[in-house]
Amino acid sequence: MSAQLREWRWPSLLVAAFILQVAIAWNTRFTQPDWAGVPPVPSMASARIMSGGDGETFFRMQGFGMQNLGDEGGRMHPLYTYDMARVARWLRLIDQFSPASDYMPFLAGYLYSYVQKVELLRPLIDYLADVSDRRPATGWRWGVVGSYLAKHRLNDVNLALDLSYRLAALPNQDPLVPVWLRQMPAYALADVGKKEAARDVMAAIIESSKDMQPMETWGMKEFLRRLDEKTEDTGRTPEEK
Amino acid sequence: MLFLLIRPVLLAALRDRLLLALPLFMAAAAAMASFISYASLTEQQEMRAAVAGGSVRLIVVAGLVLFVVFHVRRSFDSREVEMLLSRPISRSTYVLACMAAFGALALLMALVAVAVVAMVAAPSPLGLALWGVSLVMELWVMAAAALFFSLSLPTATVSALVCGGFYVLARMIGVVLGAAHMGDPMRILHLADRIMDYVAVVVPRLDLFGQSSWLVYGYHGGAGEAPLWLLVVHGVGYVTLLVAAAVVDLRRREF
Repeated sequence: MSAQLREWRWPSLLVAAFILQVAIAWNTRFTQPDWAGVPPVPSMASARIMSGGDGETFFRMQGFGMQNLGDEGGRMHPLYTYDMARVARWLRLIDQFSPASDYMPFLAGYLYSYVQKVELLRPLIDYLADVSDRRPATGWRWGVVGSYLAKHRLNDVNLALDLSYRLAALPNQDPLVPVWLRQMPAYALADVGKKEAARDVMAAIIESSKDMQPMETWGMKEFLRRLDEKTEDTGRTPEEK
Repeated sequence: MLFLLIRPVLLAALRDRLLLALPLFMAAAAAMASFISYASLTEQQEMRAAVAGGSVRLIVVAGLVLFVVFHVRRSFDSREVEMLLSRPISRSTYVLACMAAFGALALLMALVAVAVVAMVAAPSPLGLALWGVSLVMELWVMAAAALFFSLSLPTATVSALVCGGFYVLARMIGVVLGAAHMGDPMRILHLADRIMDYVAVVVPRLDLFGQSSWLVYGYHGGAGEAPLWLLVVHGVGYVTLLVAAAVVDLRRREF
């Protein structure tokens, strides 16, 4: 090999390797990692090991991951393609690392609840109701969100009624849950046509809550009056209903 | 004499740009936490505090361990240690001086970490104070571990890797013990559970230190949270154990 050829050997190799690299980059420019759907949910023990001994940071980072799940690498996936039962299991798992936080219920109630196929809402509503049961003093509002989703998005008034009974049965802790939470079964019963039962619930609340603001009492009495008006309009007695 | 031995270590930290690099990395991590928090749909303040706390802690531990390991190995490779020990300095004095210097560096870095987290996250003063004190303890334990491993093991790379493994194990030891004590009679890994019990005896419970939840919710002293006095006693006790082990090991070595 001549001395001149030896001198150009490494620069030539450098140029060839660079050209190869450019060719590979050009060829793979549209090859992106595919999203395989909501990943399987690990066990609690595995999740704790993954947390590296700092549950709060793990909670926040995993929560951020759940917030952006499926919307990575410049691509978006419609929510109806998600396995919502698995999403709810993820939310439950992550929630355990910071049980006082509203981050996971927020994602269930205000992000994943926009799923286009309303039947997929059921596991999310179930999760929201569980949050409400687990920490009534601060989490009752997530039960209300679940009840709203059941009635107005899922159009399942019976599920909404069940949830309203669960909300009304929440223990009164500090801070106290509002009185209107106790009234929810009355509204739900009226929705499903059980007006007499609705009347009984509301009357019992008026009877048992002597320390309410006058306007609150007036609002409940107004509800009863309108219930009577509707009954008279139809020309039937409450018993016939 | 002790101060004369501490000074070169602190000068080495300055020369290695450790005192510049670590605060810069911590500031970058805090900025990243701030960025992520703004992308969070809710609880942005909490997100900022937790992510800043967790990432700053990891950066300062990694930076300190790498500095200690490479500094000690460099001192051996350049025969600096042999030169020092040829003078009327005992081996225990040398180890104590190293630990004092690394401890001072750790304290300084912990103060910077607390300042950075306080600036970006504005956590509760009590939670931040507790987090800061426990971070100092955690850094002292890791500095002592890095000193011990780098004095005992032949290369800086191996020492750094062992320190990394030690830290991961120490941060997870509570979970490992929890899994070992699940109380399932059908467990086939009974022997492994017992082994973990023995391993846990010699591993510090770093999972109780530097909890980011203190920055978010403050300190409540609930289940899984150790009182501050226990963290301090545990930290000081474990540093003593590692320093004593390092002295014993160095005394047995022949140059």
